[in-house]
Order: sequence, then C-alpha cells, then structure tokens
Amino acid sequence: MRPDLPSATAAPAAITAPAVLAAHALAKSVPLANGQRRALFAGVDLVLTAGDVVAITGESGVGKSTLLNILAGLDAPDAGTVIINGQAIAGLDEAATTALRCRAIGFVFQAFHVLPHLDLARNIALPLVLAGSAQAPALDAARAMLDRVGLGGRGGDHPAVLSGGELQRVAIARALVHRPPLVLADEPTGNLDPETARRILDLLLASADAAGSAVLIVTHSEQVAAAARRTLRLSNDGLAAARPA
Amino acid sequence: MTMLAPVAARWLLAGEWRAGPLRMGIAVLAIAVGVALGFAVHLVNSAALGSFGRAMASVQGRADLAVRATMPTGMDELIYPRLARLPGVAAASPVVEVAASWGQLARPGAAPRTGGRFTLLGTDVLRAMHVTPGLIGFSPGGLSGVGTRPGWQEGIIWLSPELARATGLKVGATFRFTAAGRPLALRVAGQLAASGDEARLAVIDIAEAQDLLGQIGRLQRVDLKLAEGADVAATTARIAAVLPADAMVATPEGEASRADALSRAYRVNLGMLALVALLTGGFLVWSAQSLSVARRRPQFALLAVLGLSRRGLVTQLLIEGLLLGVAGAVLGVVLGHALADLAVRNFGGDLGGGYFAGAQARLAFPALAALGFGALGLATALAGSLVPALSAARVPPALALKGLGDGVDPTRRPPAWPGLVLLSAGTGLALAPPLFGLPILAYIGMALLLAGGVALMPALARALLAPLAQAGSRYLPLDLAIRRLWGAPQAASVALSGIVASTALMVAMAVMVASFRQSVDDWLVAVLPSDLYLHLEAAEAGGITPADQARLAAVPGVAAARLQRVMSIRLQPGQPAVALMAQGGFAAVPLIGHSAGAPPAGHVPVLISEPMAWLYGWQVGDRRQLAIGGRQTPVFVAGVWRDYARQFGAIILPLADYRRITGDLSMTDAAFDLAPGADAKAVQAALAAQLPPAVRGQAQFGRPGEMRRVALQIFDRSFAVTYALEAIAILIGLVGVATSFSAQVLARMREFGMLRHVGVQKRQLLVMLALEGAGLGLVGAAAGIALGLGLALVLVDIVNPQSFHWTMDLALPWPLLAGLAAALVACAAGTAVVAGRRALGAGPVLAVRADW
Amino acid sequence: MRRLLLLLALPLLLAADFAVVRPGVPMRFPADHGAHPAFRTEWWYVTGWVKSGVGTGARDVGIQITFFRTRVPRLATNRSRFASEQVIFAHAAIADPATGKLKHATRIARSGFGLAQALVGDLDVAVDDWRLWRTPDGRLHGVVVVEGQRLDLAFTPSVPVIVQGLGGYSQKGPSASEASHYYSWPQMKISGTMAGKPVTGTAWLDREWSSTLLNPRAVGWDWLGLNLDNGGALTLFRMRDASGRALWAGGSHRDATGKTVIFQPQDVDWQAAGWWKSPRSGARWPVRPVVRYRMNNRWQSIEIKPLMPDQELDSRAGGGPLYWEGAVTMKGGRGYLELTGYSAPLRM
Repeated sequence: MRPDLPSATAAPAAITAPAVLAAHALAKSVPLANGQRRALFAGVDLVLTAGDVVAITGESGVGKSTLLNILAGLDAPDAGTVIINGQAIAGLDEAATTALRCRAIGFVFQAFHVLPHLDLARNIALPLVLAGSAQAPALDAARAMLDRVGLGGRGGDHPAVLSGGELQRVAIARALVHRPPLVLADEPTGNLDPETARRILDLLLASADAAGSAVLIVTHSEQVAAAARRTLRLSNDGLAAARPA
Repeated sequence: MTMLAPVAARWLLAGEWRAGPLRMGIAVLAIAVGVALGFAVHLVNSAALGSFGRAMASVQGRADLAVRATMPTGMDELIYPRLARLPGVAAASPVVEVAASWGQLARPGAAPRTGGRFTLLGTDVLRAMHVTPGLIGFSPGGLSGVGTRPGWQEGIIWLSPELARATGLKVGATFRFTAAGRPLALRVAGQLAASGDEARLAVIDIAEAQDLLGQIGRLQRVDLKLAEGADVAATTARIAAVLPADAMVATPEGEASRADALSRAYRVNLGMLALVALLTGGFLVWSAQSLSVARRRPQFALLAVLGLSRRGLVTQLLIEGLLLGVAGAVLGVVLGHALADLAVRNFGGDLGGGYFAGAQARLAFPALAALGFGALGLATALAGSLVPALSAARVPPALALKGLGDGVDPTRRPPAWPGLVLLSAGTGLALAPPLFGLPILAYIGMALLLAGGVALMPALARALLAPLAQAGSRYLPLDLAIRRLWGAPQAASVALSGIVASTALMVAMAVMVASFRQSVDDWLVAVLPSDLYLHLEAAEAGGITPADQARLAAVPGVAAARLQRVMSIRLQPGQPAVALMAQGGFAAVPLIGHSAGAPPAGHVPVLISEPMAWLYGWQVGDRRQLAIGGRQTPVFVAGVWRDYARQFGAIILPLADYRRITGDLSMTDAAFDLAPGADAKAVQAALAAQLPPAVRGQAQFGRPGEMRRVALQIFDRSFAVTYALEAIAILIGLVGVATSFSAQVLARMREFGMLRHVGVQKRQLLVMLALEGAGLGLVGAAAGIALGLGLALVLVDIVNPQSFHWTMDLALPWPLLAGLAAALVACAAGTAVVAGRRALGAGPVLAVRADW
Repeated sequence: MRRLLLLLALPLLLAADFAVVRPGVPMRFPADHGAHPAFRTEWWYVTGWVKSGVGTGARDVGIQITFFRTRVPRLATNRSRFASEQVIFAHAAIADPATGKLKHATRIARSGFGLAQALVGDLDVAVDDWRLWRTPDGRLHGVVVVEGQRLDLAFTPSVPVIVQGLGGYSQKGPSASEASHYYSWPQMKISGTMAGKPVTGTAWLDREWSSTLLNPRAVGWDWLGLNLDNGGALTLFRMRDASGRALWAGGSHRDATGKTVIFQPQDVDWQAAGWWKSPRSGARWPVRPVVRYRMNNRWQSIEIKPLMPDQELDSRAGGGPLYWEGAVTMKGGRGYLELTGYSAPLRM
C-alpha cells in the first residue's frame, strides 16, 4: 500500500523511508481517587520506519505500557495524533481500529498471552483467521512460522506443555505470522531467565527483520535496550534519546 | 473483519467447549429442563383435552346441534316431535343418556378396580343414522336397523371399540352392568360404527332404554341435523323458543368450550409454572455465561488486541448462547416428550387431577408446539447470553489484558432502583384483575417480582453485609470472606440469581400447597361430622329407592340417616355442569361470611358454594330461578359455603323441597350417625347387605378419618406434578450454585495463589470459601424465602381465587422453610469447599504463573 | 307380491306372532286401504306416467311413490312411547329421460309421536314430511320430495280395484302359505304438480300385505303392471329359481268392460331379453322382456320397452337390495316393470 502522509510535515526531517508509525504530541493523564488527575506524559513524538528497531525505557509508572496501548489504538490519548501505516487512528471507529490493528500490528506481551484451549498452530494462525483467512492457508502459514521460531512440527501441541521461552516463541510467531509492518512488544523477556531472554530477543529481531517489520519494544531491561537500534527514554516530559543510536 | 470470521468463530467455540464441557453441559441442561417441563405440560394437556374432546364428540355423535336436558333426570320426550317439525331441522334423533358402570368401581386407596364407568345411550337407530351415524351399531352382518339386524331388537347392546376393549367382551357375550341403579344383562350385538377410539359408550334401543332405566317419557337430549343451507342462528333461535325450562341448546362449539373450561385453569396454571421453570433456566444460563465471560475476560482482551472487534465478540458469545440454546431446546423437546409419555401412561391425561374421567389420552407430537417451546428455550438462552456478552464488550481490552477488568470495585455501590422498579411493577400486575378469566397478569407479575428480587440482590447483599464488613473479624478466613462478599456483590449476585429464583419459586409453591392442604383439611373436618358415609358412583340417573332407603335407616346401630340426592345441572350452555345437592337439612357445611335470614314466601332456600358464587355472580340474599323438575323454581340464596370438591359450583337445597318439586324420591348419598357403642365396621357391613345387589358395585362406604386420609391422598397426588416441578426447581438452583461457585473459585485461583504466597494456609482458604458459600447461601435463602413468601401471597390470594374460584387461609410450613434455608446454606458451603479443593489442588505457584 | 325389496332386508324374526294369509278372507273397503298391522309387512305402491312440460318441450316421466309398513315385534310390557312395533319406510323415484337415470329419495322412521304412522281403517300413511292418504271424496293424494323436487299429486280412481288371485288371496309359490293379500287399482288419473309445475298422467296402485312370501328356492322375481290404452289393465309376475326358470307365476287381465281373467302359473311365460349392463354396479338386467300369457286358451305375446335403460336402484348401502324398477311401454299400454335377484339372490 502506498503510504499517504498528510502529517509528514510534523515528522522529523530525518525520514528517509515511509513511516510505519508516526505519533505526534501525545499526552495522557490518569484520574486519582481524590478527583484530580496525574499526568503520565506529554509531548511524545515518535516515528518508526520499516526495519526500525526502537526500545523505550523509563521508570515504573511513567506510562510505558499506556503509551504502547495508545500507539496500538487500544487507549485514547488526551492530546496528540497517532498514524499507523499512513492512517490516523483518531478518525476511526472501534471496528476500523480493530481492523487496522489486525492488519498492521503484531503484539508480543510479557505474559505471553496464548489461548490455552487452542493448539500452537491455531494460536499462531489467529491473526490470519480473524482477518478472514481460510483455515488451510492460515494453518500452513502458522506452521511455517513455527519452523522459523524453532518449534517445527509442534503445531498440534497445546500451550500447557510449553516452557516460558517456548510460549514466547509462539507469541513471536503469532505477532509476525501476518507480516505486520509494526510489531509492538511489552517487556517481551520480562518473565524469562537471562539466557532464554537473549535468545528470544534475537529471535524477535531476526524474525522482524525477515518480515520487514518495524519493532517497538517497551522494556526495563538494559540488555533488551542495548539490542535496539535506537533507545528512547519516556519521562513526564516526553521521549528523549537515552543514548546515541 | 467487523464481524467474526467464521474460521475464528469455530476455533474459539470448539476451544471453549473443550475447556468447560461440564459448565456448558449444565447450561444446556438448565434450558433443556425448562423447555422439557413446558413442552411436557403442553403435550399432556393437549393430549388430555384432545381425547376428552373426541370422547365428548363421540358421545354426542357429532350432531350439528343438540338440545340437552339441564339435569340428568331429563326432559319431557314430547319436545322431540316439536323439534323434528321445526323449519330448518332436517332430522331429529331422540337420545336417552345415563351414566352406567360395570364391575367393581375403583375406590381411591382401595382394592384394584375390576370395572369401570361408561355412558349408556338409548337411540332410535332409524333417526340416529341420519343425525349421528357414528352411533349406529355394526355387527358382522352389517349395519343395524336397516340391515339384517335392526337396532331396536330387544336384549342387545352395541359397544364402542374402547368399551369393548375395556370390558373384553366379544360379539354374542352377555354384558352385565348397572345403569340408573338397575342391573342389566344384554347381549353384545357388535360395535358402534364410528364412535372414535376414546369414548366408553354403549347404545341400546331407545324404547328399551326408557323402559329398563326408569326413563319412561324422558329424554336427556335430542340430536339435530340442520337442513342444508338453513340459517343456523335463526334455527337455533326457533329451537330455543320451544324449549322447556329444563332444556338448553348445546352447540358443538359450546361442548368443546365446556370441555376446555373443565380443565382450563388447571392447565394454564401448570403451563405457567412450566414457563417459570424455563425462566429459572434462563437465570442459570445468565449466571453460567456471566461467570464464563468473567473468567475469559483476558482472553477476550487478547482477541481484541489481535483484531477481534466488539461486535465480533458479542457475536461469538451470542453464537455460544445460540448453541447452548439449540442443544438445550432439542434436548428439552425430546425430554419433554418422554416425560409427557411417562406422565400420561402413569397418571392419565389429567396427571391425577381428575378432570377427564372416562377418556383415554393419546400423545401426539405436535411439530409446531415443539418448535414454539424450542424457540422459547432458544430465546431464553440468547437473552441469558446477551447481557454478559454486552458487559464483556464494554471492558477496555488494555485493562482486561492487565487482569484488572473483572469489574470488582469495592467502592462502587450497586444500584437498587432497577430491582425496586421491577418489584413495584410486579406487585401492580399481581394485583390486577383476571384476563380472560385467568390470572395471566398475576403470573406476569410473579415473573417481574422474581426478576426484581434477583436484580435487587447485589444491593441487598451489600446492605445485609455492611454491618459485618464494618466490624470486620479477627478470624482471618471470616474477615476475608465477608470482605469478598461485600466488595463484590455483583459476582455474588450472579451466583445467587439462580438460587434466589428457585428458592423463591419453591417457597411460593410450598406455602401455597401447604395453605391449600391445611384449608382442605380443616374443611374436610367440617364437612364430615357423621360417623359413616355412603356414596353411589355413576348413579345420577337414579340411586336407591325409598324402600331401600328405609331399610338402610332401619339397620341396627344407625341412630340417624341423612339422605342426599346429588346430580348435575347445567345452568349455562358452554359451562360445566353445577352439582345440585338435595340434602336433608343444611348441616355440616362451613359457611363463609354471613347467611341471610328467612327466605321470602314461595322461595326455596339454597346454599351456594364459593365457586358457584364466583362463576355465576350469585350473592347471599339473591332471588334466582332454578330449572328443576321441568320448571323454573324461585330460589333464595341463604348463604355461601366453602367447597373444595366441586370447582364448577354446587347448590344445596332442602331434600324435602327437591322431592316436592321433582317427585324424585331416590338418593345417591347418605350420612349415618351411629348409635353410641355401635361398631362402624359392623354397621357398614350390615348396610352393604341391605343394598340392592345392582348398586353394590357402585356403593362406596367411608368413615370420616379414612375419607380424610383418602381425600388428602388425592390432593397430594394431584399436586404431585407441582411437587415434581418444585424439586426440579430446587435441583436447578443447587446445580446453579455449584457451577457458579466452581467457576468463581477457578476464576479466583490467582487470588488464592497470592493469599497462599503471603502466608494464608490452604485450610484457612477452604474455611474462607466455606464461609463465603455459607454467607451466600444465607443471603440467597433469606432473599429467596422473602421473595417466595411474596409470591405465595400472590398464589394464595390472587391466582387461586382467579383460577379455581375458591379462597384459602395462608399457612406457613415453618419447618420446611427452616430446613430449606439450612439445606441451602450447607449445600452452598459444601459446593464452595469442593470447588475450592479442586482449585487449590494445583498448587499456588502454578496458580500465580498461569495467569488465567 | 313384488316390491318386497326393502322388506327382504328385514330380519327373519323367529317366534313372531304374525297374522297368517288365508284364502277366503274377503276384501273390504275402505278398511283394506288402511294398514294391517298384525301382518309382518305391507305396501302401498304407486307407479305412473306423467306428462311433464308443455308444447314441444313436453315429455313423459315415470314416477314411483311407495310406502312400506313393517312390523318388528317387541315385548308387550314395554311402556315406552318409542316401543312401537311398526316401521314406516317410504321410497320415491322419478324416471326422467332428460336425466338418463333415476332421481330418488327415502324416508324411514318407527311410527309414533305423530311423525310416522299407518292408519288402520282407511288409507293414510306418513313418514315425516311424506304422506299418502285418501280423502272422503274418494281421491288419493301423495306428497313426497325427491332430490329437491316436490311431488304433490292427486290420484282419481276411474275404475274399481282388481282383486288379484283367489278373491284377494294371491299365491306366490308352490306352497299355499307362500301368499299375500293383493289388490291393484289401475287407471288412476293423475293431476298435481311436480317441482311446482302442473302435471297429468295415469297411475297404478298396488297393495299387498303378508307375513310369509318367498319360496326358499326363489332367488328373485319379475313383475309387470300395465295400464292399457283401451282402459284395461294387465298384471304379470313370476318367481325365479337359481337356474332362471319360473318357480311360480301369475297375473290378471281386465278388459275395458271390467271383465277380469286371473292367470294360473301355466298361463304365463316370461322370457328375459334386452340385457342392459349397469355401468355403476356391473349388474345385467333384462330390460326388454318378452312375456306371453294365455287367455281364453289363446297365447298373447307382448314386447316390453323401457322408457330408458338405466332405471337401476341401489339400496345396498342401507341394507336393501340392488334392483331395477322402471317405467316401460308395450304396444297399446304402459306401466312399470320390476326386476329383482339378477345381481345376487334375494334372501329372506
């Protein structure tokens, strides 16, 4: 699809490839029990192009996950715009947002989140069938993805028999099975031991590279942040470069 | 993509069924039970009514129109030529119709019967063949009358196929039976041509019938065939104009409506109860789906993140509900048919209610009704799924994904107004007057009260637990349990809805039945003051003659004999007949309210029963006309008495007046006061010996204690279905509690894991769960009993008078209610512990890691 | 004899106390026009030809108006008004060539309640709305309704009755007990209305009463009653056995002057001919018989032609027989022909 960038002027001048994700001046606050609101962040600007790998770090409670949710269209910002694959989320209704997410974004979570009653192949094929794909090609694609993440031939297994690392491989396979332009990962190695975490991170980045997807990782981990091409730090004032890319 | 993709839908549904087959199965069962009950009751009713209607039509022989005597003593036969000559009447067929019986009639709680009752008709075959061809005898030699064997040949009788089956008599055999108090023995000439399969009836020549049955000069009815193209209304009016006071025109529609009226209230009440059972099933589906949805919130959130829209989610949940509903409906229809089959075979078409004597019920499978009840079950399942589905779709997926979306916010106060609105609307409808003579609005009111009570549960639970929550407890498990219940009343109310609904229904039914039973018992004591009673079955056309009466009164040990002549009288076409009871004195009837003074001159004082007053609008002090003995007799309503025996009304008048007016000196019932020291058994044997042999088979003796026992036995049997419904409602409720608890416990595994991590012992957790369960059970029982008492008031004070036209005094079965509450509490606590054991068996670490 | 038809279907009642037909009982009128309830059965059988319509549309139509009385004995102790022993059966038919087959109707009722009765002493027999009676002026009247057509006819006698057989004792078989009391009243002038339109014509009344008729070997009979154009009347009958031969035969001839000859069995020779097969029942009927009779030692032969072939009557649905009863002509006369026992033997 040909990206149409109505807000390209707002993006940093460094853009050389079409932007997969462009966020501008995002702000978010949460209500408190006493009726006041606490500001999480404001003035967040972010652009990801194809092949980009960006890590966002920050203190607990600063709103990293909230930012991720806003970028995925799961939460609404108090101010600012989010454009995914050239489409502004603000103008879309729930169904269209869901459809866009289904098409353009892959997710990897800290807690894996696989459906316990579906086998691995079906778990991985979910994004495809939710987008309306037929069963056979979806399962074929899922099995191909299983091969890629090193779980070849285990498509019929159920999640209950898998270890944490294996579950996250499944999650990565699911995130990339429909070749989304953008992968959002929320502490993808948070529940894993350091050795497994390293392998999983490598797998994620390699798979994303192979699929041509941009990756945005929210993490505490220095190790993860180090693997990213760019690392940004989220604070109440917005995003700033944590260290040179 | 806005809708759920079919492949995804299939995967998710299959996964869910695999994940929770028991939970799904129970929801299916809940719907199935509701549908089955509704369908079974409908089937039994329509089978009974259908066969009763067909039997009635057979006895009537399907004439266009009939003129009937209002009393079994018949009308003057000279009406026959007058009717035959009326313009518009193509043919008139005179009929003598009397109740008859063979063998030993059944006695409730006594020896097995060896005989039965049937309707004996006397016809002129040459007339009947034009008007009621179905009543023509058919012998191996051909049709009677015009064939080789004329119907008026003496000494022969034609049996309906059903009667031939029941008696086992073949052509040529001698049929010995009693009719109008006389013994008869006639040769079976053959079977009736087309009298239907249900009716037990026999036909003899009319002249022989009049002569043998003491009906000289009398006809019970004249069947009419109208001329082709005759104006029915005009002809009916011409007929009505020539009729004497003791005859009325009966149309087939009128007879059908009479058959319908006989059991209508009973049927509608059972049907409504079945619908209420279905409603309970609906609550269970709601409860099951709510819990299932709550448990799966994170899954739904994941699906939402992966690209399942809200509408897609709602669609998936509704499809789940639809599948539950379809499975439940199909199972329910099958189950219902089997249930009805069983009921009809074991209890007869009226389920022991006693409305359709003499008709064999035949069960059919009405596809339309099956579809209707199936659809009702489906709708219930869908409605039960829609609410949780919508609430699931409302939760933001990001929140749910974090595991915070189960909606529990202890600071939020559940609203009370929806429940209060429903309760007040229900109360308003419950107090409304009957619709079409039936308490339909009261039933809708009951359903609303039920819904209101359930809707009020969260607020109520919170209010009830508030003092406890404030005080707290030093006993950790109790403190945890109370805070959970207080903080999550919605979750509690989901578990409670089923239990509250079923408890309320059960309490309502139990209180109603207990009140009714107590009132009937009191009434029985009041109406049975004598020592020994005699009743002749099927003796309407003539009982015991004065000579025999005198012999009975002279039996040693009898101090006094009070005679009674009981028969039926039709006051309005299309209405069931009213019992006319000529008694020697007005003793032994429990009067309601005041009684009027002395009757005006020329008026016969009568007492009317409560249903009679209700159905015909007669009041104490009224002057009315009663067609007895062929003319209008002015009567004066001296009082109203309570009567549970005759739902369609009864009139008591002095025996002396009855005999003076009608000249009928026979009697069908008697009450004997025994001399001091006389042995009731010996006197009964002596009395039986004095009875003419012909009526011995029909005679039933009873002593008050035994009669009371039998009456209450019959009462209990006719309420057997109600008890069954009750038991099923309770079962549904308990199953609901069990599933709710296990589902909730499973949903809270993470919470338990955390508690164990912070140092709470497994045993303490189980105690906590037991206390939670007991608390829920207590709240549910309290609410259910309170709601049930309200519903009972509606049943006792509104539904019963509106359906059956009698009142009763409220009686509360306290032991039953207390036992019920205890059982509920114990059961709820037990279920919670069992579910908890299973949930905790897996170990706390896994519970924390497994996330859901 | 004839016209036992429906009565045949009535049962053989054992031990019935019926009056017996004996020779030497003189006919007395008008008493013998009335009913004889002691006998088992009797009939009033009116057949005739009427002219229907006027001018070029005028056509000949055959009519039958017949009343039967049957006694079904019952216990004398029965006090019911319904305990009547007499059953009145009536049958009427119209043979209209324009229709091609018979229109007919029946009435049946036990006597009593003023709805059905046969008067003793003079002719008045009625069942429901049908009636045949004699008025003091000597005329007979009949009212019947056949398939919506009301026949309201008066019959004016022009000649005295023919007392058949031996002074009214008419033997029907070889045994002397197989007999009936029998008189005929030919050449009655018809006037009246049919379906509201005036008609005129000539009728024949046959009257028989008996308790025992049929020989056990008889399977059926043939009967002819013909009003002769010259004012005379010819009656012919025979009883057939299973081989189709005559078991018994008889009849009478009266000329215009009133001179009457009674035929002995050997004076009648009936030859079946002109077989017509009914499309409805499949039965075959000899509707054009040739009958010879010997009078004054001279054999005469007459050839019978039906008004139309299809004058079959099927009363089997009501337990009666299948028979043929129709308007016929001969050279110099016309009347009615009755054929029974051709599809199945008649049984008593």
